[in-house]
Amino acid sequence: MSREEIFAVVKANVQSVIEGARGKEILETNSMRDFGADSLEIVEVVSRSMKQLKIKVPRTQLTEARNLGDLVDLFAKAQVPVH
Amino acid sequence: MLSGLHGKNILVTGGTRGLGKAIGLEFAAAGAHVFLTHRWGSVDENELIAEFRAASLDAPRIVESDVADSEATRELMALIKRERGTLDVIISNVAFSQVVHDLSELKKSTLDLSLAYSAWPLVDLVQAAQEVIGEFPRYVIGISSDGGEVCHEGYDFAGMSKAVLETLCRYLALRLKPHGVRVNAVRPGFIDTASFRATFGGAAVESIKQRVGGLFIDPQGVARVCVALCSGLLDAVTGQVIVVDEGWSLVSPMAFLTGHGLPTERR
Repeated sequence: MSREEIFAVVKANVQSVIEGARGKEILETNSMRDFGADSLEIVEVVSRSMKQLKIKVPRTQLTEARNLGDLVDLFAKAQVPVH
Repeated sequence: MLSGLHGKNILVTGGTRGLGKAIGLEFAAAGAHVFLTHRWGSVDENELIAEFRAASLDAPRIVESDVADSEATRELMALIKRERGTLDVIISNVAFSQVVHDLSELKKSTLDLSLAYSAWPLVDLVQAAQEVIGEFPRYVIGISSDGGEVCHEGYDFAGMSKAVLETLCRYLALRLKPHGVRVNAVRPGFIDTASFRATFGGAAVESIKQRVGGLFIDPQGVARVCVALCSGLLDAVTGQVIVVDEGWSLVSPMAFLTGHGLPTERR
């Protein structure tokens, strides 16, 4: 899955879970906190996205993500390469 | 050992840390086969298994499963059916809520998520067991707290979720009685766990320990009550909220203010 496709999954979950993100433009430079997300909503977005992408990223790595672009990078790295 | 639990199959959600782990250990000590669930990345399985082994107990079956994900819960039940055939006890222990600092943080969407993690799994687990395994568990316990009845700072969502959990326990108890199922809520007193510290702060915990000796109770005592409720000896009890706090909820606020009349045991 391409980086753009991963971002599309994350973006859809941000819009569906975080009330403050609905109808807003969502960029990779945004953090979920920019839309008023609390920690429960952030965990839900990450959890739903990982399930849909069929990947697992350790919690310790997730805390390093400063914005949605960083999260997409982590998800992209976690994908199993297809040969 | 309570022979009634020997060889029985027990599921403890959020069972890899804190009170959930203590409950898993006690059921294993009673001879039960224990399934413990956790959410991604929250446990070192080898360490946890070593802890059971060190207590001369059979290793638990540790499963990663998100209780708020209905599909994952059905996969969990399918695994239990495949490996053990039946499920005798469900302990719905997971709670996950947002700490609230001011009114603006009270959001309907966050309440929905709190309920999805902390209250509704009680129902979903029972439904999934019946659908996938083909029968109800004999015993169901929801782990509650006093937050549905008294107000702790920042505990708004957790408190609301516990109130819903206890109400669900009562209704489920009556609904499932014809099937021979016993459903109760266990409401422990304060326990010094990572979850408690995340909610109220580590400094608060240390301060309380210095000022009010004995307020934090031993999780093993709570775990033993759960075992007793599922032992067969207490089958006349269903739909109840069992307070397990060594009597601390009986203490008047005046006693905490003056420091006189606190039921601290002289050990």
